[in-house]
Amino acid sequence: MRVWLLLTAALFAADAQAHSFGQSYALPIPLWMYLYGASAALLLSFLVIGFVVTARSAERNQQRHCVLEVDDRSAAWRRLVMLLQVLGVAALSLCIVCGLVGTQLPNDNLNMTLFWIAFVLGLAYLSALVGNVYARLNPWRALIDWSSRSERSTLWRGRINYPQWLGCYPALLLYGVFIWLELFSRITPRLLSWVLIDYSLINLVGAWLIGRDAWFRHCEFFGIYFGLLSKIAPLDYVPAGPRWRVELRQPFIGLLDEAPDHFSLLLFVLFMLSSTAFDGLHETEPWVRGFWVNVYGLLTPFTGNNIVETYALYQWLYRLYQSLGLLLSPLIYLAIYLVFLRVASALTRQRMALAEMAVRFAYSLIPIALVYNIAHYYALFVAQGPQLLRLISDPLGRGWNLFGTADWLQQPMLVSMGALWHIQVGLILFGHIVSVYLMHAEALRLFALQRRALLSQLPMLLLMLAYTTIGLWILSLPITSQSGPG
Amino acid sequence: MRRLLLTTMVGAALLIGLHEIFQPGASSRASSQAAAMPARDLGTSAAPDAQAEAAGDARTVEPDENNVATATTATTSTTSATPTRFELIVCHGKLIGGPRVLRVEAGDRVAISVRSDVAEEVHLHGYDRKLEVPAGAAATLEFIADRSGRFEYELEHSSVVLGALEVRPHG
Repeated sequence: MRVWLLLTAALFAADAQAHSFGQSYALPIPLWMYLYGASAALLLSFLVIGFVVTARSAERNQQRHCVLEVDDRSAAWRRLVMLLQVLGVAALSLCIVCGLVGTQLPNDNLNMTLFWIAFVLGLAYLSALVGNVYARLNPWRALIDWSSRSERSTLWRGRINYPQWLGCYPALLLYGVFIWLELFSRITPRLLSWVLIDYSLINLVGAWLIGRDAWFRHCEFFGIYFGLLSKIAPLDYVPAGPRWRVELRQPFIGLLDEAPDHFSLLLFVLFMLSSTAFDGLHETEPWVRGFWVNVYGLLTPFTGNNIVETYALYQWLYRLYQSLGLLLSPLIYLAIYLVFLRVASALTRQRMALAEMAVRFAYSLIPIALVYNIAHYYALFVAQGPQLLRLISDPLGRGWNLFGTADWLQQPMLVSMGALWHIQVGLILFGHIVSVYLMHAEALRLFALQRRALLSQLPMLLLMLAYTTIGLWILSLPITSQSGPG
Repeated sequence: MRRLLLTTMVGAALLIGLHEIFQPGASSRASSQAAAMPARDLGTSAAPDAQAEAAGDARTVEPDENNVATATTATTSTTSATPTRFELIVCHGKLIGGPRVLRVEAGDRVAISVRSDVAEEVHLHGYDRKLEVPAGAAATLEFIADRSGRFEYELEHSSVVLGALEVRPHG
């Protein structure tokens, strides 16, 4: 209930100015870099196809080396698991408490940086590097595990059966709400604490209702998000009976292991990509002017020209415009995706249904989702991440100095724009190459194509090129401070 | 493995080659940026007056009709002794006079003068500078824009973002 109250309040709140926390200080990339990036993406794609086509077999890349095997019941393993669980729950509790009793200045309260930078961004990148550590760090899962220790515990067995046709749509819905809150509500430390409390309640009630396993498999969206990213990592944690195997593999190859089992996961991946793209788009000049000039111009014959009177109405409409943009963004990406796959399907004369084919290639989009995330948030991560060192000494913003670091980093660490632009374009090109490679490897495997059937793979190349070009284009758009008509 | 190495080398050569082709040369950089900006910014362009006024001690840059003020230095000196001035007027917690976006080049000396009806504090993010503005009077913040990027400045008490300072890197 409270979540809905919060949402409604945030929706009708006074016009939210640009968030003061989460500024990235980044300038748009210059036009020449955008053109350079797009052409480089195109040419490199052909290079990658050439590489794949002359490959002996994509199967050879899928070798795994077992690095470590651990017994599930060993004391060391149990201690490690317990440590990670405690860490997760402690971090969650710290965020909640700091937000409730600490300062409401976002840059001086530990919880904002700990949650948005260390958790949402940092853990995402960590998962892509070392695998699914969130499976153990998940505080909600830890709490539920701890409370079901006793033999007779039936608390989390579930009261109703989860309807399998729902797939991961609940997680997608929660993810959508989360992004909406991030972009459009005035997140203060206190609001963040309440959001976390609400989410904890949702988790507990949900797990009670449909059972712990079903809940964490289908509905806890952070788990799904970090789980998808961890497929990129060169480390994999594989359960094998009573033991756990830590395996080493090529980076990104884990994305070819298995395809998603539900259409909702394709939408989830597309939303990962589109929400970051929309985050980049929603404060740019063309988008904002699209409302305050074009939509406003369309509606003034009906509402009148007196902005003083109609201000509240237009602010509400503006928020609707922005929210619809966020909501429709994955659908636009989906439309582009399906169109190109349809063409590819026709060229390869496949019998496979479009929906099934769409799902099979879903995971090859994750690399571009990841690099776009890094490109978009890099400046913020570098500026705000190290602030954690300062904030742990003064988590509540009261002038404490617990560890002697409260005076460090008074000014944020800024990346120079030249370096940032090259990093952004470089990352996007890298992700593009990887995604093109994965798509082709999957296509070769799926369609059992002759290696020379290049023409059929052209639509997939164009698909990736479209996504990359859109990503670069958004990065090159000027940002506006406009908040009213004219 | 050899094939991978060969492909990587060709790819790297391609990237470097394309980079050289697309990167504007040093002499044409200023003009290509100035030309690119109108194409991208939908009408907010470098005010041609600014270039004509470049000579002189204290330059005041007039914003164009889209409220963007751009300072284009005619000389190529890295640190200019004459500051680029911007005048902002704040009333009832809103910006009613002066440009919303201030564009300078890295290394420029910047002077932002703010006039407000009530006592306010203007906070420039990134540079982390604060300016106390007394009620009914003007105060000026002067500094060297040594870091590139986009830095918002806001009224601290009412948490209202007034606009942004855009410092573009050299070249």
